[in-house]
Amino acid sequence: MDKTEKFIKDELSSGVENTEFDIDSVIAGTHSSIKKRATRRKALYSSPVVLVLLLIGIMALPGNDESATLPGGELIVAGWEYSWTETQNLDLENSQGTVFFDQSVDYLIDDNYFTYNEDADALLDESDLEALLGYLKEA
Amino acid sequence: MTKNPDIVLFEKVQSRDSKAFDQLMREYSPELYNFILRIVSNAEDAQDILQDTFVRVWEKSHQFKGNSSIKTWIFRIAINLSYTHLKKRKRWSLSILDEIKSLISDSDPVQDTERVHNSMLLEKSLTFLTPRQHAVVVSRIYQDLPFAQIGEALGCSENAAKVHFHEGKKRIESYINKQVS
Repeated sequence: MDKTEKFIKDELSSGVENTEFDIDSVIAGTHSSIKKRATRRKALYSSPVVLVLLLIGIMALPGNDESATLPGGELIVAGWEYSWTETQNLDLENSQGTVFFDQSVDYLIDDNYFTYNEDADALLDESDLEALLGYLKEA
Repeated sequence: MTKNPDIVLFEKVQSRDSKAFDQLMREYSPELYNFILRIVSNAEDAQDILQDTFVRVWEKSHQFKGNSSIKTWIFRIAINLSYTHLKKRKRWSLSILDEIKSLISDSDPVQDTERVHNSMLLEKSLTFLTPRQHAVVVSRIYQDLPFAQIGEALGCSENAAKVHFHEGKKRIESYINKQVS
């Protein structure tokens, strides 16, 4: 741990006082939130929104009828490699579809409709990009 | 061989035992709350995030695969929620001045002025970090969490978490050096 890290650790440990909080109200609030979210989830699953999300997920997957146009029999090896990559991509996109679906349901339950924009902001965060460029330069 | 009591407790939570869940909350709340408070620097927000963390723990408990300790898994959820909160707060443009004002009003004038000064220095320097850098720096230095776990919580790779950490540290260093010199 260098000087800066030590300074940060010391100040984090002493800087903010350990504020007392009401554990009973946290527990009661947690149970109440769980019940509310369960009710919303139930309502959401019985609405057409989920069907639309499922359709979007399915449409995001590539069609299986796309085949490589191999110009000659001598490209069997290349064909095998192509098929293998296709299979891998399909697995990846399939799992991405599932993640997309799960996240969408979570976001809808939270009434957090702007999260996708936020994610886009995170991707375009200039300071993150700067950090990466600085790191690459140093490397 | 006896099972780890934390695992026994968590298995009860997984089987939807609400008393075990209450016990889990009581056990983890103090440390978790202080950790979240270090990231978001606001007692009310920290309590809300703590509550949200436990809601997610209850809902996602079946997804716990035992790849890390239960504590690390819960802290990962807390980092993720705190990071999302910081991103939103950045969007709402909470000014640095407001942060400092609240620090001044919360501080006791009799307290050691150097400690207050250092604390404010760090608090202000943290506001120059991106939400992701902020979350990584606090998680790594205060909670001593591994980069791989932090990266997973923030949706980036272990190496990206390291980059955010070093860049964040560099920004803090440069801010403090400017203020001290």
